[in-house]
Amino acid sequence: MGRRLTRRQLLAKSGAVGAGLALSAGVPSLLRRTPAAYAASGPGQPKDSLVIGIGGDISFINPVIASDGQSYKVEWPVFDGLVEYDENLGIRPMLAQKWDVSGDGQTYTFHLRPDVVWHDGTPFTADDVAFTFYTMLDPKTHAASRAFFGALAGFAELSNPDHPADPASLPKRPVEVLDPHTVRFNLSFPYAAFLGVLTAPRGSIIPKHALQGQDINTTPFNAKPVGSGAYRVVEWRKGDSITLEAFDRYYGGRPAIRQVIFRVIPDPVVRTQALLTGGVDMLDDPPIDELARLKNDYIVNGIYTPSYEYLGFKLDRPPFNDVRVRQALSYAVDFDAIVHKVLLGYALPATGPIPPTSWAYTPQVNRYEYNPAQAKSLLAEAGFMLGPNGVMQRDGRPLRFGIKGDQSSQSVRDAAVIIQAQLALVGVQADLALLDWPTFVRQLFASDFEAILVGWTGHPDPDPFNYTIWHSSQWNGRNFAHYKNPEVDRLLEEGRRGRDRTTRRAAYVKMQQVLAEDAPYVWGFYQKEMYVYSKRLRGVSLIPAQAALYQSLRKASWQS
Amino acid sequence: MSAYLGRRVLGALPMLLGVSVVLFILIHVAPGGPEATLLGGDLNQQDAASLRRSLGLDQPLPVQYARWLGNALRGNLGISYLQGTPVLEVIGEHIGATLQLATGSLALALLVAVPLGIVSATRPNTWVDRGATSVALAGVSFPSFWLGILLILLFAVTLRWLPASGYGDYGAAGGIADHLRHLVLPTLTLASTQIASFLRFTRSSLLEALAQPYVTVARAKGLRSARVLLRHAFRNGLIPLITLLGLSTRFLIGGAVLTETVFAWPGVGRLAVDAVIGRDYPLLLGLNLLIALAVILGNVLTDLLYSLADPRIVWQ
Repeated sequence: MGRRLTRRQLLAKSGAVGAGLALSAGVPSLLRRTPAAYAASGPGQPKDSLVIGIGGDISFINPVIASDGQSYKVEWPVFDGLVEYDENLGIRPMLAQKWDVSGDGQTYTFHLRPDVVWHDGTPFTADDVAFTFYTMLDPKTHAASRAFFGALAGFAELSNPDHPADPASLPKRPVEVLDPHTVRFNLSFPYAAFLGVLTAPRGSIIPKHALQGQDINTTPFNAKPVGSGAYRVVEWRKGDSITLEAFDRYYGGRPAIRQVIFRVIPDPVVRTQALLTGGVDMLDDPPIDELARLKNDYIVNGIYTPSYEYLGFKLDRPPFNDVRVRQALSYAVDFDAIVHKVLLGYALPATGPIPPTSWAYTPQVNRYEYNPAQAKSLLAEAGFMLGPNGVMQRDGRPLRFGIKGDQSSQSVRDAAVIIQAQLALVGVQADLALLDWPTFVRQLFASDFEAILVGWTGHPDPDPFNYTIWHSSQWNGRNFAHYKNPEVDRLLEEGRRGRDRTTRRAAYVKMQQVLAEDAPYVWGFYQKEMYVYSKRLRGVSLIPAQAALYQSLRKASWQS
Repeated sequence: MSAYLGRRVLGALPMLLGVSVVLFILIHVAPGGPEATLLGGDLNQQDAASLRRSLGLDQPLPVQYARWLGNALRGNLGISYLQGTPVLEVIGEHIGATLQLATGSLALALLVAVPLGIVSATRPNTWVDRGATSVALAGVSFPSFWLGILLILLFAVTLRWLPASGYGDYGAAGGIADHLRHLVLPTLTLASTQIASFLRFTRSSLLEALAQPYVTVARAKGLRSARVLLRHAFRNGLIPLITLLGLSTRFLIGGAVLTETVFAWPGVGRLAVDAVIGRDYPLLLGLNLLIALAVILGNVLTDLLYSLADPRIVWQ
C-alpha cells in the first residue's frame, strides 16, 4: 500500500491550480491594455513591421523541396534566384547580372553578381548554383519542381531513381562552374522556357556550404534556412508564426520594412477579424464574401495567376471519347452562373488553359455559352435519346457518370452541386463523389475517375504549365485525363522550342483554339488571387504568378 | 504505491503495443498517401513511386511495422514527412500550447462547475439550480467554433479588450502578458464545453450522497451543515467526478481541434488534422500514441484520486 495525500496537501495543490488559472484567465488590468500586437499599427505611430495573416503553416523553408503554396510565400523574400519575373512576365536579373545564350539555344552562361552574401555572411558563388541543380536532379531529393528542369543535359540519367548517374560520367554535364562568378547550363534541346523555370522562388539558389553532406529532405536547415534574399528567417514557431528580419547586407539594399511576420490563422473568418482588430496588416486568401465590406477601409487587390478550375473527363473511355458529348457537356454547364453566384465575380469564365494575364492568352477561341438546347441537340447527334426516367441513353445505357472532387474545398462543393443540377436539365445524371485530398490525388494520377472537378495551378510560362498536361507522352503524369491529339503535341513542341515570344505565342494561340474545339475539359473559371491590406502600405505590386504579391515585399514601405 | 504504479506502467506497455498495431494498420489502409502533399500538383507516377520507395512505403506492412517498432523502442518515432524533423521534436513544439489550453480550461471548468454543482444540489429545483443548469447546458450546446467566433466578435472586434487569435508575443512585443491575453478566449471556449458535464455530475452525485443514512447521522450528531456537506457528502460524491476527469484527458489532449483552429492556437489538435490530411504516417502514429498514453495516465491518475476521495479504496 502506498502513501496517501492528506486533505491539506490536496487543497494546497488545488490552490496552486486556482492561482494558475487566475493568471491564465487574464488579470483584469491586462485586459484593459491595448494588446501589443495591434498597438504598433495604431494611427499616427511609426511602424516598421508588417504582419500577414496566412491560412496554413508552411512545410519547409527550402525552395528545392517545398511543394506547398504556403511555403512559396515565405521562400520569396528569403531566397533569390538567378532571375525573376517582372510585372509583364519579362525576365529581369537577380543573382545573375547578365547572361548569354548560344546560337543553338542550348547553352546559357550566367554572369553572377560579385557582391552577394548569404545570410550568414558567406559569399555567394557559382558553386552554390551548381549544388542547387545537382541536388534538385538527385532522385533522393523530394523535389516537387524537378520536372521543370527536364531540358537539362543528362536529366534522365541523373534523376533515374534506380541508377542515378554520376555527373562526371556524362558526356555533357548540365551545370558547369566556369569561375566563381560564371556558371553555364547545357540543355539537351533549345528550351525556350528555360529562363522562365529559373525564376525565383522555384528556381531559387540554396547555399552549398550550409547543406553539403546533409540529407536535404530532413536537414535542420529547412526550418532555420540561410538564404540570399532581402529577409532572413529569425524565428519559426511551428503552427503559429514565422518572423523575418530585413537583411542588412542585401545586395539590393536593406528593405524599408524591418520585420515581416507571417501569422498562421486557419479560419478565414477569424483571419478577417484579426485584420479588423489590427492583429494583422494584410490578409492572404481573404473570404470573398467579406471583400465588399473590407473595400471601404482597406486596399483590396487581386490578379489572375496561372490557374484555372475545370470539369475534366477520362477521355479514352465512352462516352467522353466522343467530341460531340464533350461539347454538349460544355454547353450544358453554366460556369458563368457559378462565377457570379459562388465566386461573387472575383473570377472570369475560362476559355482555355492559359489565363488572361499570360502573353500567350487569346480570347479568339470557340466559346460554349450556356445553351441547354444546343447540348441536347449535340447529344441527340451522338445517338442519345431521352429515356423513361428522364436520363439520356444510348443502346440502353444511361448517360450517367461520377464526378470526383476535393471535399475540403468549399467552392468545389458548391460548384459540384450546381453542375449536377445543370446536367440533370439536359438528361445527364452525375453522381458526386467528394474525397479527401490525398485519396483524390492518388485516384487522379491513377486515372481512376470518370469526371473530375478540380483545378490547375502552374507556372507563368505556358510550357511548364501545359506540356505535361496536354502532351500525349505524359499519360503517366499530369495528363491523367489521357488527352491525345497529334496537332496539339506538335504545337506544344513548337511552343517549347520557339526562339522568340512571337513564334511561341503563335503556337500557343493555335493550341488554345484546337483545345477549345476539342473540349477535353469543360473550362471552368480563372479565379483571382486576392489580398487585402492597409491603405498605408506602399510599394507592393502583384505579378501574374502564384503567390503574386510576395516578390514585392522587399520594396514595400509604410506611409509615414 | 510504487509497486502499484510499477504494475500499472508495465500493464500499459502491452496496451500501447496493441494500440500501435491497430493504429499502424488503420493509418496505412486508409486510401491516399503522402505523395499528394509532398510532391504537390507536379506529381507524376515515377516521382510518386520513387518517393514511396525512399520513405520505405513499398515494403510489406509487417516489415514496415517491425522497422518502426524497432526504432520506437530506441526512442525514435521516425521523421515527420511534412516537416522533415523527428516526430518527438514536432510534438514537443506543439504540446506546450495544448497543455496550457488543457490545464487552463480544465481548471476554469472545475472552478465554475463544482461550486455551482454544490449550490444546485443543496437547493434542488430552485431558480438557482435551474439557472445554473441552463447556463451550463447553453455552454455545452454551442459548438465551440461558433462560440469561439462569438467571443472574438465581442471581446476582440467590439470591445477590443483581447486579441482575436494566435499565440501572442509576435516580434518580441508584449512578452508573457501578451501571451496570456491570447490565452483567455480559447480557454473560455474550451472550458464552456466541459462545465455542463462537471456541473451535472457534481449535482447528481452530491444529491445521491446527501440522501445517504450517514449524512442523516452526521446531521443528527449536530454537525454544522457546511461540514456535513463538504467533509461527508461532497467527498463521497467526488468519485463520479474523478471518473469524468480521467476520461477528459483524451479530449483535452486530442480533442481541442476546433478550438485550436478557430483561435489559431498552435497545439497538437491542429497538428493532428494536418498529419491526417498530409498522410504523415510517422507523425500520426506518434500523436495517436501520445493520446493513448494520455488516456492510460488519466486512468492511473483517476485510480490514485479514487483512494484519496474514498479511504476504503486502497492501491494493491
